[in-house]
Amino acid sequence: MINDTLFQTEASRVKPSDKYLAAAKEVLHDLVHTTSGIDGVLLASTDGFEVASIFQKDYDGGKLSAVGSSILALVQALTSEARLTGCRSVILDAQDGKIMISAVANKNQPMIIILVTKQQVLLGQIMHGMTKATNQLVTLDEQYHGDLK
Amino acid sequence: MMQRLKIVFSGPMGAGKTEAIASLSDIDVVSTEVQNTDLGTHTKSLTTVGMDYGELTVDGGTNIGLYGTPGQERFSFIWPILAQGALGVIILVDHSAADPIADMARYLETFDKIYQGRIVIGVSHFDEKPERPFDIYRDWLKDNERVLPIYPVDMRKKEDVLLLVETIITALEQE
Repeated sequence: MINDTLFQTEASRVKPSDKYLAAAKEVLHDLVHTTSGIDGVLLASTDGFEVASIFQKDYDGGKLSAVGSSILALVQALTSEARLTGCRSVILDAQDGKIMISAVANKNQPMIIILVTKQQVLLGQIMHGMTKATNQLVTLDEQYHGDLK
Repeated sequence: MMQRLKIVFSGPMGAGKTEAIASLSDIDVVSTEVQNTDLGTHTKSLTTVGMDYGELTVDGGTNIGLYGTPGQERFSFIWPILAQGALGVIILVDHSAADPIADMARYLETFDKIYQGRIVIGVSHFDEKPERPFDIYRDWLKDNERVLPIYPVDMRKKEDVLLLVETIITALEQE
């Protein structure tokens, strides 16, 4: 009985297609392997559900997704109050590492990427890698989710 | 003297928190709505993931900050942050949901742990399930020895939402 309910809830979630998921994982792999100092990368829906992740440490992907989506939405609200438009990312600077959260402006299934890095990283390289990855993910969304709407 | 007060709206997804604040606010509301992918929990197209913010000025110049929490429990990390320093918390319950009593009980239990101030309950979407009696809420509160103000409310009507806010302010004035 309980399992039935759970199954129905899972089934009625808007999820990326299997093809998108497989291609998105490759994009994340590329990002991790072409950029140094990354401890974790996670792709999530804008409403905070984990889609895919690669972690070098023991992170809780569910919690990172929820808090990350919430923070990016708050930061976007803040930038729009400051009359700025198109807030794409936020960088957080901690004592022993950095976090970058970027919007993935998918037309069909909007997402976010959360990147956790070591403290000593080249920000330019990280940002370049993120831009490349988000562009690829947007193209994949057009390719694999375009006919869903 | 002008006072600055804070009231928080919480409750499950789809109970009408964002709409309540929009109905009541004198300013353009700050919202953090994104596309909802959790159609099993609620079929609405947008959902709040950060917070809602609006402002209401009542008689005497008192300015009230209206804060709305996200409803889904994976965002519960933000509930105590928003509830901090609040004059009162309004818990909205969707009467048309599968089990609104369980929703109310769960939210009261959670807020008991993170918030010690006044709580008022608003029951929304009553017209969508009129065959379900309002007494179920009063009976549950009585059985659980909770004395809390509870009203049926239509979030689209400003006077309904205002009643919830005024209940909290009146309690403050009586102290």
